[in-house]
Amino acid sequence: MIWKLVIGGVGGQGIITAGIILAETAVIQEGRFAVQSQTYGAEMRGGLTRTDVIISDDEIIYPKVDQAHMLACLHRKALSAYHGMIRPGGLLVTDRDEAPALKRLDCRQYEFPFSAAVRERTGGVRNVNLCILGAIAHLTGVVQMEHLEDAIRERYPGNDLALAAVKLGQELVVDSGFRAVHLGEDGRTGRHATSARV
Amino acid sequence: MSSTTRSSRANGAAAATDRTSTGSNGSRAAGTTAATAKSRTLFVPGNEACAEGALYAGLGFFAGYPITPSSEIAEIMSRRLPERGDRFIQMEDEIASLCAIVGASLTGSKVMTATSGPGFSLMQEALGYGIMAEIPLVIVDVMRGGPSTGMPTQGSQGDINQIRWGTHGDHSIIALTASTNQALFETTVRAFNLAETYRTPVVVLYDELLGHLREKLTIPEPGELPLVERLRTGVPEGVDYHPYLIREDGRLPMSDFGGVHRYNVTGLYHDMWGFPSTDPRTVDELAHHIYDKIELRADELAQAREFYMEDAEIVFISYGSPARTARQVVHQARINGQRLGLLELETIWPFPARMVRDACRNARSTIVVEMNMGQMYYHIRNAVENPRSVFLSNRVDGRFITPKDIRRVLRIVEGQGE
Repeated sequence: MIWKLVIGGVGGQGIITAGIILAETAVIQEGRFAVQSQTYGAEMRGGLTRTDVIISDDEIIYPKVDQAHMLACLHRKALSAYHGMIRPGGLLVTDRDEAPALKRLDCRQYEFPFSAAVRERTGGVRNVNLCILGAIAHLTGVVQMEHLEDAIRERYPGNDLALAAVKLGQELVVDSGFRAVHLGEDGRTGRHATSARV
Repeated sequence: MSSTTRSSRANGAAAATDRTSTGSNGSRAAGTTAATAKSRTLFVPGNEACAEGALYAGLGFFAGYPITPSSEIAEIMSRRLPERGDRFIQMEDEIASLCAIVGASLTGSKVMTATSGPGFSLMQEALGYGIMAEIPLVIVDVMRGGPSTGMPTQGSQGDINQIRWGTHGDHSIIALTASTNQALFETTVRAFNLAETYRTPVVVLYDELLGHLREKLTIPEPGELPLVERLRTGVPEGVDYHPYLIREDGRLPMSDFGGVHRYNVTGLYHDMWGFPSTDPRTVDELAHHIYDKIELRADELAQAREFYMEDAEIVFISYGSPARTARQVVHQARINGQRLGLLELETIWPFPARMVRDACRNARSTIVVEMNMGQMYYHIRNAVENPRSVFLSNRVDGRFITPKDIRRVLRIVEGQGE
């Protein structure tokens, strides 16, 4: 199976780090294939930023995402810039407050209060990027939840807040009652998964 | 997937770089070791794969000036080389960077610098010196949009002909490229092997996309990839050593500068002692030597990967990361029953003319895929028997070439409109 994911936001939100961790989980923890690339402006903070992640069970040939199975957005600027990248019928995951979903889009839309929940739990907005990763992993199964947690532990040893943020993301999905979504396509034939369960 | 790697042996060097045929899914031999050693499997950008390859090859000295999109290489070297007792110097500019590695190489180190187009332009003078004085050098050029400062954060393949013809005078050069991080690691090791074997600057070139693309890299065990060490003279101290006395096989044993032998090194035409000469016979011999030692080995140095080439009616030729787009198109076309094939060049210079000619012989059309205005396209046209059957699919706006871009050209070539 091959999964094409895009995460968008603004500089400083940890978007690119999130993309790296997600892809690294697939490669290092799960022994699968992944590529990660990014685009960003010259600004240190506030500029539009995006990371493309492809995760696959086979070698990845073409490394860019032209149409994404899933787009996750942490900022409304990113949502308005990148919503055209979602594959029709694909999945859109957004922050309820920072990037309210655009209802006219042809995709399955999921809003979660990532920023609000992290702020409530920790008093700050750090680790919102990890919170969204936890939600993506639980919602899509693109990587196993425990493998994502292992990756976080290796990357941030002893950082309980980081781990808690990932689990919080998972909780938000569980609490929402949304069922898991399966969206990948067969890398060999290009056929879509027939096991959509939504 | 059908894929084979073509490589041939060139003295000791190609033995060091000879790759076995790739597996059924096209992944490299190193992929098979991924499961055995988790700790040696990394998830890194191409620039880091290149740096790891250089460290594996035995890099002992790096001088450079940071420039996007190659800066990560200097950053990694500034940390890793001192850790193992080797030297890193951040120079004042790219001119000094190349001059510094020329000097360090003469003292016996394996050396490297890394830059991008604007810096590579500044290096042309010292590059010519390296060619003339026959200094083993590895120069990494991570291509960005040009000319001039162009587009620092966007990819391009605009330096192809500058590498070959950037410095003045008749000369030859070796340039290698790759399209994946694993291949880039191996290509960097090969670059060091060829630089030491042929006493010449070798350019490793790839574009911004690969430089910043993170993917799996498995570091081979020490000894898994053979390394070529420098051929040194056996002449003892006190006996005349002729630094530029060419052996029958074209090789010149070196003596670490500052060691037991005193000799001269110059960018002027020189005799066997390394002193300037305008003697026509001496000049003629040296001019042919520095040209022929590479150009006459073009077939041996040629290395490429083939995908579905056995019965291909339309052949794509590409190199670097755009080859991945071409491979995607070919892969998809085969599922649909179209007989497309891909020749992915890994040796850019000396130009692998015979390999290209053979690959295109039975093809109805050839489509060259590259991210410039056709720099390799013209050489391929010159190499094939029917130049009119060669077409160009390119992109120069800084965006990565997509399967759609290539398929559009394919439709036109096949007379199917846009």
